[in-house]
Amino acid sequence: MLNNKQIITYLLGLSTCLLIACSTSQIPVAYNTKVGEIRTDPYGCWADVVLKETNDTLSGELICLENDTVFILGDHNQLYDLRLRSIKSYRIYTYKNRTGTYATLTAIYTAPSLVGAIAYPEYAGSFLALGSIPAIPGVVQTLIEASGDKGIISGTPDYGHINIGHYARFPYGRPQGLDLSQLTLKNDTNK
Amino acid sequence: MNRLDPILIILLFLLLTDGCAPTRLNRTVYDPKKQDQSELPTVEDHIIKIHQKDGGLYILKEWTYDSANKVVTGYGLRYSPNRKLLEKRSGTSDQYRISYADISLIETNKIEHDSGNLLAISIIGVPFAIVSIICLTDPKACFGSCPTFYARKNGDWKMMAEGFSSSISSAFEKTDVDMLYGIDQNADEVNIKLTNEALETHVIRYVDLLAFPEEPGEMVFATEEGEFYRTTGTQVPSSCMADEGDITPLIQAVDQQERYSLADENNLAEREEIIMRFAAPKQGESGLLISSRQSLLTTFLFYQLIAFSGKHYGDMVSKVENQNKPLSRRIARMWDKLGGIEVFIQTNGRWEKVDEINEMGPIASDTHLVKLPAVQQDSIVVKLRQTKGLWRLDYLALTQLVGPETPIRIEPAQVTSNDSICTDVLRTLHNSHEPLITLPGDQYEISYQLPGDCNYQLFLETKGYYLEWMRENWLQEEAPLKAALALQFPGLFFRKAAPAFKLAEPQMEELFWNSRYVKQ
Repeated sequence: MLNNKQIITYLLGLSTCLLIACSTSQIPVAYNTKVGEIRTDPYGCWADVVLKETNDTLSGELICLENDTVFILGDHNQLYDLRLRSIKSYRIYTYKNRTGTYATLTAIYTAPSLVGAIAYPEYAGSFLALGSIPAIPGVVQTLIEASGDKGIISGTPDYGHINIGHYARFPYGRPQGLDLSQLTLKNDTNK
Repeated sequence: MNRLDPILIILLFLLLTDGCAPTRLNRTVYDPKKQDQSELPTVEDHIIKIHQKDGGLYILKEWTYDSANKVVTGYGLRYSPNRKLLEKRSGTSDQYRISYADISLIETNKIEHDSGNLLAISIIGVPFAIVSIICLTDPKACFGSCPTFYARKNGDWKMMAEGFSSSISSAFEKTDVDMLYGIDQNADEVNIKLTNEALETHVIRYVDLLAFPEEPGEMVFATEEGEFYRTTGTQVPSSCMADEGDITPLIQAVDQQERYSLADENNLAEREEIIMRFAAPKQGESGLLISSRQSLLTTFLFYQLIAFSGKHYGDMVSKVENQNKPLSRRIARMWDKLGGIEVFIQTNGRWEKVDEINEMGPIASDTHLVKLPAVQQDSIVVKLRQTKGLWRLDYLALTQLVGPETPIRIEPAQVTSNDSICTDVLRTLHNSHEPLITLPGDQYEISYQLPGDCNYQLFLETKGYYLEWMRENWLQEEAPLKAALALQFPGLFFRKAAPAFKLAEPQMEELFWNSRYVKQ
C-alpha cells in the first residue's frame, strides 16, 4: 500500500508536469487564435518585433509586407511601417497551441483514479497504476506540445523573411487604394 | 509492480513514435491566375480564404472552380478590408461568384497532428477513466489476488501456479498439485519464488516438488484425485464446438491463447457445453487433458459475500474454523452450484459423466488428466459442461496412458529473501505442524536439489489455506440478509448478482493483472 507521502508525491509530480506545460503566451486574448478557428479567422497574426537600434519591442497585428516594409497595427490602432533592415528579430503568434487541451484531458482522464487512490488508500497503488496508463501518454504529449514551437514563428529578416507576409491580414501585400491608417484591431485586445 | 497488457504497450508505442508530435500549422497560398487548377486547393482543404485585391476577404466552406469562366463560386462569409462582416451566404441563397481577376491569392490552413494527438490521448484515456470510475464504485470488483508461485522459464520468472485457491479458511485447507510445465532446470537445482500479492494472510504447511524422470515422447499428468499417469501420443480434437463455433485453434496448444465465454446476463450459474471429437486410439487406455483456469467470477462472488457479511465476516470465519458443519456445507454448496468442468463421454448415443475438474483460481492455468473409459468406437466424442464465463480453457487433447507413476518428493533445500538465507522459513516448510505465514508483499525464493543426473518433469505440491482480509470500504456494503441469501439460496443469489458482475466483467481480467500487490 502506498502511504500519503507517496500519493502526494505522485500528485505533485503529475501537477507540476501539467502546469509547466501550460504556461501561456503574453499576447492579446483575441489574437491567441484557437486551432479550430485558424481557418475562419479573417485577421492577421499577432507579432512582436524587436528593433535593431533601440532594442525596443513593437507588438501588433501583422497587416502586410510590401517590398522592404512591414506594416504593423499596434495598440490604439496605431499603424507602424518598419523597414525590414531596422528589425532585429520577430515572433509571429500563429495559433494557440494545444498544451492546455492536452493537459486538461489528461487531468480529466486521470482524475477518477486519483480520487480512488485517496478514497481507498488500501488500493492506492492499484488506482495510481490504473491512472498512470492514461497519464503517461497525456503528460508526454503535453510536454511535447509545450516544447514545440507553440504556434510561434520566430526569426530575423536577414534570414528568410519571405513568409512573414503569409501571416499578415493581407498576405499578398498592400491592397490597391486602401488607406491602412483606417484599419482597426480585433475588438478584444486585452492581454 | 504492474504489468501492462501488450496491446497497451503497442498503443503507447504508436503514440510515442507516430502520433506524438506537436501540432503544426501548414499555411499555403495559391494564385489562381498563375497556377493550374490541379494545383489549387481541393475540397479536402474544406475551407479556403480568398483574398481580394481591394483587401476584401471571402471565407468559403463550399466552393468550386469554374475554370471556363475563370470564377470561383461558393458559400460562406465576406469581409471588408477592415474585417467587418458584410455578408453571409449559405445553401439556400445565391452563390458568390468571384472572378479570378479580383483575386490576389487563395489561402489554406492545415493543422497537422491535431486530431491524431487528441485521438491518441482519448483512445487510452477514455477507457481507463471509465474503468477507474467503475472501480471507484466497487473496488473489490477490480482488485484481488491469491497465493502465487513463480518459476524460471527461459531465464525469466514466470507465474506458474497458485496454491489452494479454494482454501479460504483452515476448514477448507487442502493439498494442491500444479504442473510446472517447461521450467528451467539448472544442473541439479530448481528455484521457486513464493509470493503473497494480495491483502491476504497465507498459511503454508509445505511447498514440495514432485519429480518424474523424463522419458522421450512421454509426459506425466495428474488427475483431479492426485494420481499420476505417464502418457504418450497426444492428439488435439478434429473438431471442438462451442456456442460460438469451432474453437480448435484456441485450444490446440498450451500457449495462453484461451477460449472463454462471458457470463450469462441473467444467471451467473447458467451452463454451456463444448463438444469435441477425437480419433479413438488403437489400443490401451486413454485420457483427456484439460489445461484451464478460472475467470474472476468466483473472486467477485467471494469478495461480494465477504462485503455482505460485513462486520460478521470474522465471526463467520471463526465458525467455519470451529467446525460449524452446516455453515461450511452452505459455503461449499454455493461453489458447487457454480460447479467445475464436467466431463462426459458419449457411448452408444448416451452421455456418461466421467469426472469433474474443480481446481479453483484465476491466476495460473493447470493441466489435469481425466481418465476415459474404453469405448468400442472409431471416434471418441467428449462433452464438457461448465458455467458460462467461469472457465478459461487453454488446451484440450486426448492422450494414451502408459501407466501410473509415483513421484519423487523433493523438499526445499534453502530459502532466501532479499539475498538473506531464511533458516526459520526453511524449518517451517519442513514441519507441517508449524506453518509458514506470509503477509502482503512477502516474497521468498525456495531452492530445491534435484537427485541424480537426469532431467525431471516437475509438479508443485502445496498445502495450506489463506484468510482474505476485510477492507474498510467493503464494510459499507454490509447486508446480512444478502449474505444469508447467498448461502441459503445460491441459485437465486447468482441471478441477483448477475447485473453487478456483468458491469465489471469486461475489464476485470485486465484490472486484476494490473492490481497485484508485489513488494518492490
